[in-house]
Amino acid sequence: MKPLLEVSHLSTDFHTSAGKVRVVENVSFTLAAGQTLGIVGESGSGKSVTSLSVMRLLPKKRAVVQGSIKLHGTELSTLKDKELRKVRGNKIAMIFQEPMTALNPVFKIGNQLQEAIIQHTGKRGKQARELAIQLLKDVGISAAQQMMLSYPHQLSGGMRQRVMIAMAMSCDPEVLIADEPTTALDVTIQAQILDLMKELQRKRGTAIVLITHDLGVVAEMCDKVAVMYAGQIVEEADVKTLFQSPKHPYTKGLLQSHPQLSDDQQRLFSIAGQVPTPAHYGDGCRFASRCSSRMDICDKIPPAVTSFGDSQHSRCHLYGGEAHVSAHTGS
Amino acid sequence: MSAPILEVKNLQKHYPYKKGLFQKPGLTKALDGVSLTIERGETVAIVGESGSGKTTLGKTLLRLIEPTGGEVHFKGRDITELSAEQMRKLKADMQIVFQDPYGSLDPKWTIGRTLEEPLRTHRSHLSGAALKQEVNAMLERVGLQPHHGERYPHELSGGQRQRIGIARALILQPELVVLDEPVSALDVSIQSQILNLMQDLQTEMGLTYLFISHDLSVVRFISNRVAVMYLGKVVEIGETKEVFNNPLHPYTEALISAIPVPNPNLKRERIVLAGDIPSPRNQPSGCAFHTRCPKAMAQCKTLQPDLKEIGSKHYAACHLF
Repeated sequence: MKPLLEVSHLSTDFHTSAGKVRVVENVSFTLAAGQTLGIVGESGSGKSVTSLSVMRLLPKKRAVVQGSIKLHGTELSTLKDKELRKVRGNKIAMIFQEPMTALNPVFKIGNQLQEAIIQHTGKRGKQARELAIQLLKDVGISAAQQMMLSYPHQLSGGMRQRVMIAMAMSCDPEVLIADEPTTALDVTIQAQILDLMKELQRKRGTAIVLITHDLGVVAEMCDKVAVMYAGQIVEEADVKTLFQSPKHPYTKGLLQSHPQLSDDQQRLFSIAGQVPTPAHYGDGCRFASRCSSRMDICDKIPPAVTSFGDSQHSRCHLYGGEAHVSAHTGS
Repeated sequence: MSAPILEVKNLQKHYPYKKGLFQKPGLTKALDGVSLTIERGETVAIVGESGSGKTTLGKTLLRLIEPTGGEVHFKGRDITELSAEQMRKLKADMQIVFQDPYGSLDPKWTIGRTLEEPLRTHRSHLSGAALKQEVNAMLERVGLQPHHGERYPHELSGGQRQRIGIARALILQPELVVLDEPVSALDVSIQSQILNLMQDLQTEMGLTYLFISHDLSVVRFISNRVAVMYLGKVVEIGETKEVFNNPLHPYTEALISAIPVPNPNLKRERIVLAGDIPSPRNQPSGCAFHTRCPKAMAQCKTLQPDLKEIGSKHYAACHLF
């Protein structure tokens, strides 16, 4: 399958008072039409910064993004702002965790939705209004007319997220980046929103990048998964392989930490310690200090990526790696 | 069996609200007749969606919110009738841990001072050195080191802050601890550390937990019994394993089926509830759940179901039974 979105060697640096800090390092992934890629990780793993970097939504003065982002083979990272605006929203749309902060509190839902439509589709007036109502109906809001006249604060969290999805879908994007879209919602509402996203994907063939910390959501939604830790992708696999035979100790740890619904457990597995800050990444593997399979080499040399078949890749010394290209080896 | 540590009878918390200038005020029924018994040493979980009243219940039990009706018997004594002074003394035995430890720790106090404060109030006979010793012992008990006592909340990670929240609640060696979403703000790997810690402390210190959470997998792990709340009422209560394996109330069934399971090979039939939880201001008539219930019958609209024992120690409030 020809990839729709191709991100390669993406790195993001932040300028801070303590100097330049690399928050995302050498992240690469591809996504085909109709596919869902999950990016999982804990707070501070760089999953949100990755998505903001792809969308080029980070402030230019504070953040330096390197690497290549291609949509249909067109390089996005070198586009001028004006050209980029045609892509962003039109071809790639994004929804966020807290729809309340993404919606403007002083404008009615209808106005905000029509604004997006007018900006991107060239439809005006009555046409824009009709499309807005249709979009609200598409995301399962039956009282769409009434919804057009509501303000964001009058809606529940689930309704707000539906509105956000309607807005993101207004230009029929090819890629939807969803950053923790259901984290703030109750499980019953989460189930509704996940179903809605799946249905829209089936109807329109949208590719989805789903950023989440919830492995349950990943298992239900995704075709393939990238696990991030401390700014790097440490493991990548199709969803079944990842859950059945995880290779990286961090992935294994994450899966085991999750409380089981079906069994009685006396004790939960836990990963000792916490995610290091960029200043404490060290020379070797960034997970080394928390890893139960740590070896001497792990503290000194960053692990290379080992491939298991076509679809699974893991960044860990346990598997040797194919190419030990590292400045630290001294060779 | 010895007497239960906590017995809640028909607890109510109604908030009046103004409908209009010339109308009689309406009532928001945040808690609408909750009855519950907790035995010494067990963990009872309260689950429900936002707006179900689970946090209000936790706070009302400690009289952080004053109930408008009903009784709370703690070790045989009705605490709703106690004076403020008596209640203050009793607080040494009943403590609470909040979801966001950052919001519940004073940012200008060192961790040490935060932990000393309850001791100063309730154990005023302790000398400075003894205070310090108690604080250090508690820090070690929750998996931190004495030097953490000199830090400020912002210098700690989320997991460490929650350890402090737990230490603060446990330093007076209480008997009952209300845990209000204690791990919801934490990452999975940190969450499991804290859950294990809470379990260890329970065994070591003989604690009784009321564990409030919206996360059913966590509840499945930590609790002995679980009560499901909907719009201020308990709709189902029973032993955790039994409730998860054999949910009676359609709401419980839907809640459990909605949990995403981390297993891509498992294809389950999910019951997707239509709509949101109604506002407690306009409680539906009859069974409050009938507006979203996939199994609603005619009588559900008019008749309120009572909590009935269906299985062994397994209660549900539903007309199906």
